[in-house]
Amino acid sequence: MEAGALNRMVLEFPSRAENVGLARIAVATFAAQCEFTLSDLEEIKVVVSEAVTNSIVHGYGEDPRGMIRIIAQIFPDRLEVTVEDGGRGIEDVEAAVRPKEILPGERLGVGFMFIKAFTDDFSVYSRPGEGTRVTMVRYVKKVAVQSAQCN
Amino acid sequence: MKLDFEVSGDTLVVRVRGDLDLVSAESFRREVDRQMNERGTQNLLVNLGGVDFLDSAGLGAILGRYKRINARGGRVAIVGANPSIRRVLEISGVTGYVGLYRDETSAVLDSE
Repeated sequence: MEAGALNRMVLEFPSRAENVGLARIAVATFAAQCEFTLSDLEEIKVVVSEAVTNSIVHGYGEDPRGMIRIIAQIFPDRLEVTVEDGGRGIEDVEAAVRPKEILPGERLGVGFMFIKAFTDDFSVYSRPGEGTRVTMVRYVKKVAVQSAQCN
Repeated sequence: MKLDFEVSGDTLVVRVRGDLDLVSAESFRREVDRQMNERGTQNLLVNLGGVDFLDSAGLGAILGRYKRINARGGRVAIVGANPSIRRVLEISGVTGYVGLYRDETSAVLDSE
């Protein structure tokens, strides 16, 4: 567990659409240890769903042989969630996260728009052919879990 | 996700229950397109009153229908979105294309 973390969860699953719901519910349940409001938890579900959907659709091209890993950690002041894949990666991260106007169509490409809107901070590390790692941070007013419970 | 359909005049009403995300977007697309074709309706009213979760994959399923329907001169409206879903709709900019209404009655009245 990273220094200073009060609790940590690791979840790994194949790149299947059916697992998007599992991922967001698992992270939201974990995040509920913090004093987030229900509205906060709904937004956390959205950002996890977007990051995992990006891994499935863009990282692995919906190939279920790819694996996705989520690491969620609670710190005294924040929740940190990392979603990583070993997929094809993003050539131009700056362009991928740049705000864009939504255009009608089946694939909107606005996942990072929600991640930006519903987190306090996020970072994307990606190299073509090596996968993508998205780390998202959400600050809390108070953390309910005691550090002694995590030792 | 479960879908219930009803025709009201020239409008197909689809009442959605469950989550609208990557896993359910494809069946939403397929079922709504099939019902629109079979019933020959021009407009689509999406009732999200039974939806607890919506993300960009679900939005794509709705905006994809908008693109097809708008190209044929029809209209699309959304009703019944809870506050969390309304926020997702507003942040995404979807409301620039699709009208948001409180319930089916107000949406139907507005389109008359």
